[in-house]
Amino acid sequence: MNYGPILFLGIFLSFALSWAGMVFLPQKQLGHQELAKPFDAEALYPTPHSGLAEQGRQVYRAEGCAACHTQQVRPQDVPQYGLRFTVAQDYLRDEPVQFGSLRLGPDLANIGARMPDAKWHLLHLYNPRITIEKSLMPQYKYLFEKRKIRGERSANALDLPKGFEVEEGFEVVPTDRADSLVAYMKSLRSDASLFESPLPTVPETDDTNAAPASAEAATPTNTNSPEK
Amino acid sequence: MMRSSSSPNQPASGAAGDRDPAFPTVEKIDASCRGALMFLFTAALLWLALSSLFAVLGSVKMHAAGMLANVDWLTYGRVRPAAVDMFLYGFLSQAGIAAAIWILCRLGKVALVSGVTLIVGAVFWNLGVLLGVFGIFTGQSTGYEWFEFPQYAVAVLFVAYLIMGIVGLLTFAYRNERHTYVSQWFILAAFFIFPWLLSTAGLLLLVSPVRGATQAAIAYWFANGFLLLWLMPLALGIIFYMVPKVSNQLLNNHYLAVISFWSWLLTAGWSGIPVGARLPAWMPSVSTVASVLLLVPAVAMFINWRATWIKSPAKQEGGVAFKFISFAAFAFILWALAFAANFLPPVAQVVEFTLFGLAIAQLATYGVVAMAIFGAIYFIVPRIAGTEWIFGRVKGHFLFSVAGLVLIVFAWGVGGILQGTSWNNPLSDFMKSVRVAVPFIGIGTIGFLLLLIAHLLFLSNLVSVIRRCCTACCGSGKEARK
Amino acid sequence: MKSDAKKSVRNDESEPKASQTAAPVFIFVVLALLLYWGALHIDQYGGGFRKEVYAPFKSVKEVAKLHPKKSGDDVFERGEKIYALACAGCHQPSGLGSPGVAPPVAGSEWVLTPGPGRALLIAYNGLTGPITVKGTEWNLAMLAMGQQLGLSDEDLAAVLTYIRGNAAWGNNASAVTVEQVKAHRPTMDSRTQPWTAEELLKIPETE
Repeated sequence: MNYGPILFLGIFLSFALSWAGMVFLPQKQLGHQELAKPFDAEALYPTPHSGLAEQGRQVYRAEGCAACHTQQVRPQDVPQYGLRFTVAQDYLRDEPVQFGSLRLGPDLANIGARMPDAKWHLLHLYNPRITIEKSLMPQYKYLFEKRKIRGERSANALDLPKGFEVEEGFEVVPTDRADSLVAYMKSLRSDASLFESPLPTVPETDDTNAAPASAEAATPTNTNSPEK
Repeated sequence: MMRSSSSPNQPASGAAGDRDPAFPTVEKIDASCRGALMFLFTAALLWLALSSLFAVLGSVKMHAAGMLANVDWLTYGRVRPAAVDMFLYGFLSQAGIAAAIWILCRLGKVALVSGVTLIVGAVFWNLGVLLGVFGIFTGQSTGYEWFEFPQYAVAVLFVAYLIMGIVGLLTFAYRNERHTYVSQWFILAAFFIFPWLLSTAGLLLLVSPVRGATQAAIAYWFANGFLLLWLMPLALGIIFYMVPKVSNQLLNNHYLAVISFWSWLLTAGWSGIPVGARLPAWMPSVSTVASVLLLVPAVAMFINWRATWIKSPAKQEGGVAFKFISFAAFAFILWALAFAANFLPPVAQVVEFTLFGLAIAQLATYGVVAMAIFGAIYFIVPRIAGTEWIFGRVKGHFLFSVAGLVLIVFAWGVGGILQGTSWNNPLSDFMKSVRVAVPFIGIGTIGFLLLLIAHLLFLSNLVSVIRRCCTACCGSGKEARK
Repeated sequence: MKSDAKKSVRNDESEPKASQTAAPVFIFVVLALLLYWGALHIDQYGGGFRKEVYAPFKSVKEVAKLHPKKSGDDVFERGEKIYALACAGCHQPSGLGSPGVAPPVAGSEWVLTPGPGRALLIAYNGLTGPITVKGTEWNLAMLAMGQQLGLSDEDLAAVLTYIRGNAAWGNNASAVTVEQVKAHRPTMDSRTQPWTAEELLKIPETE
């Protein structure tokens, strides 16, 4: 192995092999995926998100939420986080895809179905301990504006519970970033029945709302619902 | 045969017989590296200290949720990736390149091709890291783990790397000693693969992003390649150089080294897709096999190193450098075992998405790569600067680094297993798994504090070396003028 | 410390070299065993490298079984049997065809038309001459399989339902009824030559 060129050729070929297998092949297989037509619904899946939710995704990325939250429902996560495990199809519209690798907080792939209440999310972002006692999550006070009440109290001001109020005469209102992040949270739901990951029982009816409705019915099993 | 003809056991005669009079002397080689390498090492150490400062901050923020809650650039989700990237790009990559280039010079018996060009590359590299960190703090992170730097920073890093990489490759090409040694293979592989990794990830994730889950597949591939085919080969090149050098022995077995090199290179690139990743089943199962196969080169290399240093009665000669290097060697084999286990489905069932994964990454990046680089810096700097370290601080650095690392890896490892066990218990709710982990996160914070102390000691030691080196130079200059 | 450095500086001229000892045999044995295990592992858990298979499933078949039976599944199963008998030899059980033998039926634009007409005529009377399928040009001849085997309207409806609606292949076109086949009967019976792609294109997609 005293010849540089031969060494180089060997290095090149062995790395090219792994490049072909782990970059080219996945791209060939998944890169041209198309929208799916679920068995039980008319709309193509995944459905597009609202512009506000798309902005929220960028907030999610910028604030590094993926440092503590995954968006991956594995088979063993199904009872806790969703009705079925997630597959590549679920992430087709995501840009960037935020798989995450650590769960210091719960999985969020289905948070829109598990917790559809925007008010809950806003309080949770402002101070997670309002909604979940002993939460480790940082407070995102910078996504909110604390301001003096002039005249009427703003309609979208947070209803802060006892122990978390701000000074008399002040109110806390969400900024655009907080609103869009919550819109994004509400848009996160992977509940269409797909060939590679069907829902446990495909609803008999053709009602397009059947799957989402049953997803909400499953919320009581959630671990981070406000009741707990 | 080989052993008797060029035994380094008789340094005086062996050394003289070894050297072709046409080759530059080691003093000349080291002098050619002085300016550029001191620049790279100093910049790297500054990033190291800065990164450990932010790592402590990030770890503290895990306990104090309300701390600095009004400052968006200091939120946990920005501080943590910034600290990690400063460490990976600012310190490990930069100091790794410097140590690798010195090894290429020494093994090739050739002076550094162009120190000035290397410094130019290094300046751009630091600019790239600075821009990238700035990008993360201002919310422009790309969202991909270990690849958070925004597009413009990656572009600067790529150009900077090309400049430095070309210097390294030319130094290898112009080598006087045509015979190559295993360290050179690993370093060349790393130098060649890194730009490929960076450009592929840059193009397919940032410039014209691929669709959907393919992004995740490529992000996994990049992060895996960054560790196994960039940082690790640099560290392995250093260990393969330092072990025989410090033990004053021949490397135990050439062919074993050949096998480990090629089997490492052929398998490493296929690992990296976690068992539970939401990608078609073949991808994680291929990664599982690759990660287990990596045990073969890992064990082969460890056997080779151990058989080399065990023969040497004089291994203490290398002193402090050897302490770090042998720690890296032991950490390497431990990491290889944990890494393979982590990719086995029954183990992943418990530890996936827990702190355990962070523990393994810390063991790899700090226990193996950083420790090997520390050893190399302690070995190289006195030679190129002509000034000795302050021994007490080196000892302190070693103790604090080892203690900090052990605390972090232990705490996150155990905490992760407890977290995963809690998730797999259907009666337990999520908050229970968080409460279980909290004390271990606390121990981890203490670990990061120890690392910060270690790195400040290291930095102060380097500053003192540079100061003495400068006075020595200026002093001798004055004497010469007299 | 200073003396340490001096000592090693003294040895500095000699750079590391490796001793040319034979590599231990056990390393090859271990490597071979692990490679064997790896092949088994990927064979068992790799899902045949198909994009539809996610752990814990092991094959497309297993995934397909999950789907509850709908009405018409008997037809589907009947179609599967006919396909295995008459078509799979060339078009492969995967529906992907094989180069130089037969173009794919999985994802083929000739199969997934709104109406089953074109695919039905090919299946019954055969096909000859150049044809473009999924962007690839083919120039082969297919026998008049349906005619030769004397498939009934029910059989033809079943096999076309199976081919068009096979989710495991990624096909999701509508099922074919016996009435649809009957409507084409006169054309099929009067035809004595295999069809060409050009002729088929004149038949509306919806028929």
